[in-house]
Amino acid sequence: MEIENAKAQMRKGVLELCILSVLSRGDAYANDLINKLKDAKMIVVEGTLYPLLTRQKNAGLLSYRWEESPQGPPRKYYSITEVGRAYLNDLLNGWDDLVKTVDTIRNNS
Amino acid sequence: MKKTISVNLSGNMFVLDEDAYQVLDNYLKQLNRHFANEEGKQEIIADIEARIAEHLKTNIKVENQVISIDEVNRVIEIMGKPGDIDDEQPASDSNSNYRSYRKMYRDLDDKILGGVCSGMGHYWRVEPVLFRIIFVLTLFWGGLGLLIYIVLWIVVPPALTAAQKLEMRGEPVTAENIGKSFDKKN
Repeated sequence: MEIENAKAQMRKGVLELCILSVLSRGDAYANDLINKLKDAKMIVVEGTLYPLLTRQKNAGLLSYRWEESPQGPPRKYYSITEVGRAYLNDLLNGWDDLVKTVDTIRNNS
Repeated sequence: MKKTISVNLSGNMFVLDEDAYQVLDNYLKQLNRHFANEEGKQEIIADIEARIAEHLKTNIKVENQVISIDEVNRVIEIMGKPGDIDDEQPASDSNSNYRSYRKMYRDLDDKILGGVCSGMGHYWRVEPVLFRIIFVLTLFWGGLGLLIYIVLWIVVPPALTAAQKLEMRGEPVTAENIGKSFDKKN
């Protein structure tokens, strides 16, 4: 179980980056986001996504609008903001640096 | 035969079995506690409710179909228990959120007359037979014990729902425990 926990912690660290990445390629319903993240095995349970979305929205990184849906009440349609794009770029640079650092450590020992 | 309860979940109406309703209601209460200190709590819960509604809708084939406890458990499994959703908070604090507390109920599953003694037994974690002996002994001292017993019978509510039975035993009322006590029954 320890190893699974360690992996889960790693995924959690980059989940924010993944949400913004998906949205940077186009607006999406929560459903689309969940399917992409689940397929990529980034999230295990769907509930994980919602607190993150609300935090990112409150931080001004993304916004949403209500879209009518053919069956049932309107649904939230998320899009990334300019602030969110800048934030994502920072995160991606950080990610690249991290990958490089880890590679250096692994290969130089 | 089972009682049903109809609910409005994110603008959709659903008809749930009573036990299914209790599990769902408890799950949402747990989430409320979990996100209690979160700025966007209302919004997070509303989003999750909307998603639960979407999931429940996919398995509804006919109008007025009643949603069973299995179906609710399936959706909760997909959404995740509060602990799985985000455990950024230290584990110690999530435990204190679900602190169990005990309430006095009459235990109708283990009763001689009204379940008063077994209820007191659960409350003080003492064998109920002790209270039974005390009450029987007081019969020889005039009727005071009998009077007390009858007053308790009237005043102490019976543990009817799964949640009340858990409270009576001092077990935390979580969807998981309610599921367990339903399993025990069936």
